Amino acid sequence: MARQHTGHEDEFSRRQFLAGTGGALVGMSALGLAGQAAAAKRHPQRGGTLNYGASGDASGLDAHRHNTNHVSAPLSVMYTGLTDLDQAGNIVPGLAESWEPNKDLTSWVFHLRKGVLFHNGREVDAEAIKLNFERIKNPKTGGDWERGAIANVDRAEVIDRHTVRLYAVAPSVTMPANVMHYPTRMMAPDAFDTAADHPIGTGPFKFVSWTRYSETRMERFENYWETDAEGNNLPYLDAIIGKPKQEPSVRLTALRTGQVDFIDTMAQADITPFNQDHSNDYHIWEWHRGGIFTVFNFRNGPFQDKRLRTAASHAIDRNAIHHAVFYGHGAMADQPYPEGNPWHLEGITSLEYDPERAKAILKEARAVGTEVSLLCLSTWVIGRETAQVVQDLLSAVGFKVEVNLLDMVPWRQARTKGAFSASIQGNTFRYDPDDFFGRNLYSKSQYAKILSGWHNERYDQLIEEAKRTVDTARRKAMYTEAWNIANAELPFFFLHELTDTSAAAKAVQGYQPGSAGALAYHGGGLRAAYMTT
Amino acid sequence: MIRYTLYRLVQLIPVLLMVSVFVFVMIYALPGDVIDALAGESEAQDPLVRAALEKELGLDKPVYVRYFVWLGKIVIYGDFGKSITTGRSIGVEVFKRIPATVYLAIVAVTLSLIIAIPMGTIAAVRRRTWVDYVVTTASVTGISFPQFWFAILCVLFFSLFLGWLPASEYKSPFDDLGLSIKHLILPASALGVRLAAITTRLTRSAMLDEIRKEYVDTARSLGLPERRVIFKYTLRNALIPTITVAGLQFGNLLGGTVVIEAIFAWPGIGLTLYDAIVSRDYPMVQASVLILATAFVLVNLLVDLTYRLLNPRIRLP
Repeated sequence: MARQHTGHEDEFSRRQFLAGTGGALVGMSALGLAGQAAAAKRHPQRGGTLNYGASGDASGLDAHRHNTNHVSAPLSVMYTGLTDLDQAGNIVPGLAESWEPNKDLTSWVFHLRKGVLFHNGREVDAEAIKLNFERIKNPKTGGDWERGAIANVDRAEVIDRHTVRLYAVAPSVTMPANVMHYPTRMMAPDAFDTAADHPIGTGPFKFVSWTRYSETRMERFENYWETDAEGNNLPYLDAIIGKPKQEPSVRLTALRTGQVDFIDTMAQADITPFNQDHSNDYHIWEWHRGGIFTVFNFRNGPFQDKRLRTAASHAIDRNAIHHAVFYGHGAMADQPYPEGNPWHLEGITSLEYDPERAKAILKEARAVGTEVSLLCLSTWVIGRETAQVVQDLLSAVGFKVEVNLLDMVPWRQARTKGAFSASIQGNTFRYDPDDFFGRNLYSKSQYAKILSGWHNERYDQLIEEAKRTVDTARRKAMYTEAWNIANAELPFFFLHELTDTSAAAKAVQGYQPGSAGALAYHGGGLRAAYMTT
Repeated sequence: MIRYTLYRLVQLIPVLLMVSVFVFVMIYALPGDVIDALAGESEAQDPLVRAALEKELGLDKPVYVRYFVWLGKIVIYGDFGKSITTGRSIGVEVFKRIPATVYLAIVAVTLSLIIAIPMGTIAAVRRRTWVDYVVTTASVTGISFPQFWFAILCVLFFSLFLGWLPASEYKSPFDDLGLSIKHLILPASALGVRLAAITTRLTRSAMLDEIRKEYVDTARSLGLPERRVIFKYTLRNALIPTITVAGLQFGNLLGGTVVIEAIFAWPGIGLTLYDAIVSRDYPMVQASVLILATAFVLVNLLVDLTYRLLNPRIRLP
């Protein structure tokens, strides 16, 4: 079982240099990224059809409207973005072979790879990119998550056929991460109107059919531009058939009985026995998905009082969550980035589990019996289980906790109105730290306003400065100071890493997930997978 | 009979009109609306974004205007509109799901009747014997099983342990009947066993009522074989409540198999309706419920017509 770790320091500034000088082209050729698909040949032996047991199904086909998660949704392999990922999670050239910002980071010029085609044969040009950004930013056509991901993109401008400039709302180094295929998926503009029935992307696989709750069929895109190190055209697979199987035991059974060849996740309780009994029979990968944390509401309720936030944080035993919810998998965490990741922060101070201290604080504050409404999304299993554990722990020190499980719409309303005392929230892995530290806690972020509603001047200053700082070490120092402020003020109390475990039959070769679970990335994942008999 | 059938079909119209009004209005009573689902939390509060989305979705018009436009499109063009969530034609989406749902429901109910009628009959005929106790215990156990738990147990036992049956997925009977039946057995059994347990108890109770009646004593005193007394005379009368309940169960199954559909990856209308409610996809909810209500009423008409087959003395109004 492989645990994926990123291991590069200062990769951003080196990549930026390469992108700016055109050295990227030389580098990418060495890695096998020939610009013209026609020149490449198909691998003579590698192919096959992958049956993919997915934990969920798409809620729609329009990739600008529906979140096509790159770690679990089969449809995600239909798309690429201006930038791409490598296996370690670094941002590398994608549809754009290079990019450079202006001096004050308020605009970025992307130089597009020539000869890249959409699945319908239309060339990917600057006009297509511009139309994509306009469509995503329009609330009538872009989903809220997709719009939020490029909130800092003000507009796109066509410079010439293969050059596009993106203007930023505020100076930021995060643009390259924001235009990667997760979250920003490019679709053919001449097929926007039919995106809900037949989406057209630029990825290694193209759409064939979708029967909701039953099957998603994709086949190999013969004109995909990426090649392997030998110059063979990627992908190798002939087709992928996504088969949604929501129930974890059914999904795992489907893998074990050969109904599917690959599953994206399994239940936490199944991981250890499966590893013990079947590690020789299947490929198994554990990967970092994100994190889970408690949000304290600064707008309403008892946690406006810092003493109560402190008491609640002392009352939470991360170890209990580690065992009861995660069955010992993943790691307890006091920050969003795991050890080994370049953005893992050193020197972080966080409150320790101390129920006696929690009780004493509550008694001092004359707050024993304080009623707490703990909000959680009802359809999120891990969140629900964590909420139950947190409820028990808080109740044990003297809070009176009610877990408020709501489905999506009333849950969103409750967050917007601040109708909760605390909530259990999660985050998916963010390739740029501003997408966590900025989006979730920077007081001017729309999203932060509906979470804790916390405001700290120094925190905001640090985030604004980090956004404008190219040097990774300096950015890291700023985020360290910022996160320590957050850990002292407690808008959040970080609980645990979210990890997932995927598995595949031995017949699946050439596949390795990305460090944060990406199904497809530059030269790897499902782009390089193939079946053996 | 024909006149009665036509009369009942005409009765459908006011029933469906009432259902359409009810479902159209009730969806708006749910907390939150589709704008909250589509827009981000912050943007849902932005009056400009809200107004633009409401106009786009036709929600800026009064409810009664929206109702008549919606109804008019269905009646005149057969157009149920487009799903707010997927952007696809609702008519196509819903009617694609109905065969899978009906297929599962028919087989589950048939299976339940195949089990329940003999079991209930034997238990009544052998009342207060070990046979009766075994059947009663089995039926109470069947009613007590949580359906989702039983379904998962079936998957683990028959699919993983024995390797006899596939764990999930729907295969159309028109593509490969044999394969389709193999895929159907587990979900139909998971549904059918619980239905059978309920119907067994009902059949037993109905049979006990009939067995005590004078005509049964008369038949026996005339020297008719016991088998004939039970199966030709008593059971036919006892089946009337059984068939009524079976019809109701079938109607329930049409929209109420969300859990089984989720477990077995069965592309039925239950999951579609559930997801539509959660995402406040109003047109999809309204269309799905209307279609299901129509199906439910038609099923009950069929049940009423079946009474006359079972007992020709029954006069239909």
